[in-house]
Amino acid sequence: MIEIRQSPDFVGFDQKKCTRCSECVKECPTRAIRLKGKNHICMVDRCIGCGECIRVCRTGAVTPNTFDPQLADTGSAHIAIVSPVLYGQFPNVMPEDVLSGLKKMGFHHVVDLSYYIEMLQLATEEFVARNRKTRQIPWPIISPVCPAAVRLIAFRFPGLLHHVLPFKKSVTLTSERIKEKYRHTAEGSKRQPILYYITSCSAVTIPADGFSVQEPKSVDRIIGINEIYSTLLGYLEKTDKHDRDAMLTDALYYPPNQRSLMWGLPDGEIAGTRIEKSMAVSGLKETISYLEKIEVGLLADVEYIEFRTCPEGCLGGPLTAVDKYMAKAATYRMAKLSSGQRNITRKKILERYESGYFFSGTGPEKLAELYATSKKPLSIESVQEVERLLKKINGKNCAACGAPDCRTFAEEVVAGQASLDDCIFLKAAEIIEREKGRADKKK
Amino acid sequence: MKPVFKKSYPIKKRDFVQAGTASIGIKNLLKSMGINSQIVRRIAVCGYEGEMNTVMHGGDGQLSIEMSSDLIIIEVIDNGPGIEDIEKAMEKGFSTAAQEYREMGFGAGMGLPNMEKNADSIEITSEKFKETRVKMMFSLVDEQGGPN
Repeated sequence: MIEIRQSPDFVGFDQKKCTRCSECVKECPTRAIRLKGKNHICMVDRCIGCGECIRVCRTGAVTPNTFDPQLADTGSAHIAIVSPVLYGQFPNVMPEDVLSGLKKMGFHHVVDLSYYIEMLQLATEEFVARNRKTRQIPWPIISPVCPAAVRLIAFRFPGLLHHVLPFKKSVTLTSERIKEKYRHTAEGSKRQPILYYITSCSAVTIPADGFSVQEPKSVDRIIGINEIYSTLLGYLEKTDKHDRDAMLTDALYYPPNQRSLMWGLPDGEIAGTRIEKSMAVSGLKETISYLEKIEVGLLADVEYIEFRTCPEGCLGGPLTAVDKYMAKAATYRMAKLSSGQRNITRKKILERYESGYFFSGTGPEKLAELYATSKKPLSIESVQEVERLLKKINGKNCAACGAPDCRTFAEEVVAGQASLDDCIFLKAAEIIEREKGRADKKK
Repeated sequence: MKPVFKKSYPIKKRDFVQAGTASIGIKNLLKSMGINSQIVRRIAVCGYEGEMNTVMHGGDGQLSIEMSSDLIIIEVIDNGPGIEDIEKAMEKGFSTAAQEYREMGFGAGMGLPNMEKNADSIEITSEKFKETRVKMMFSLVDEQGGPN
């Protein structure tokens, strides 16, 4: 029978809560989920962490593999790196106060991503400008920011992997710098740091995996925003001016700005750059449809394209606590209040750019190897057989068999991994035939 | 005898909503067979250009694939008006597309040149007021998969 991957990487299934509605089976973009036997939901191909199954599950049977923070005093320094998506979750609180609240909650240091987000935006601008001359990457260059989108490309559109900008992520650059900075503080020699990343993204829930397998592990633990939301809300009521002042003197502090606030929104990555021919696409179906377009040669006049598999970008991530549209409204309000000016000089960017600082060093081949499908390719004979079965089934992609669609089911039957008995269309035809036979006999 | 697989996908005249589904179908089929991703991409580009040509200029038609272990043949057939001057049609930038299509971003006159560039070989036959056939061959023997 079909090989079951025992530990689905980014999500976990609660067999007791599963009602076998097969919504997740149908929506999974890598067709990796199956319903097998009685009440058994499982993963049979690679999970890219997009979190669509979490989103569509009505009973909460699919959960992300995140870390429940127990900030006990273990003698380590707890350092939180904060995704800017967090700020939009608290409509009437300023970003600085959200960070103060986290400190009150028990994190020893809190770090905002603004600085490295700006750096990456400027470096991306530089890359695009140079690419106009060198054409090192074919247009459109695809943003490397959304890990689920990058893995989706490796899985379903490997021919487009060389369009992906080979840059590191802001959280990687930030955590590398923070570790170094921390080591040089007075505290650094006494306590071991533990880096947490507080995020709305289900695609980064396994820190060992890095942030898109393009780069090494950079933080130690991932915390979903939804997991700390109510606790943090409690602490926010207790923070005052004193807490804010204390935070401003923290050696690891960097003030959040407009760029980082906008980062979580669709278009947010491009908003801070001077790339003219760019576009932003958010949502899983939309991302797939645009990747199809690029694959047939369209959009070659676009220079940079930003994909987010979550609707409304990272603000619509599966690990958020507040509805994406509410969060979006709050984020826009806050962004208007903060400065959008550039803080980093071009000289500094160019220096780092030339030294290779931004480059991840993982090419298309490695990505393809890590995230290509684990299915065996079909032979010509198998495809002929699949087509024959599809005609015979003549189904409606109902997924009652436990596979996401008729074609996948037929492929698995041909590979000996599923049985035709599981098709309710064939069963129904059989029953009708039998009843007809009985009626004829009576006549 | 070597096994050969054949399948054809219908294309409808002026149906811009469904346009692209045939080439996407072929593309996904080839991916499931583990065909080199660069070859798949070249076939996808050719299939799509052919499909759009049929939707815009041709009448109803079909996109078909025929494959064996070492060769893939993609053929676009339509019962449209035919091409008057094939040599001229192969020129970059030459187009007879109506203004409405140009406004939709099509009709840049790159369709046939693009197909010629991406296929290993191409044969165009056309009979005025009757039909146009564009047959493109892709070798699977060259492991590199790059454009020629």
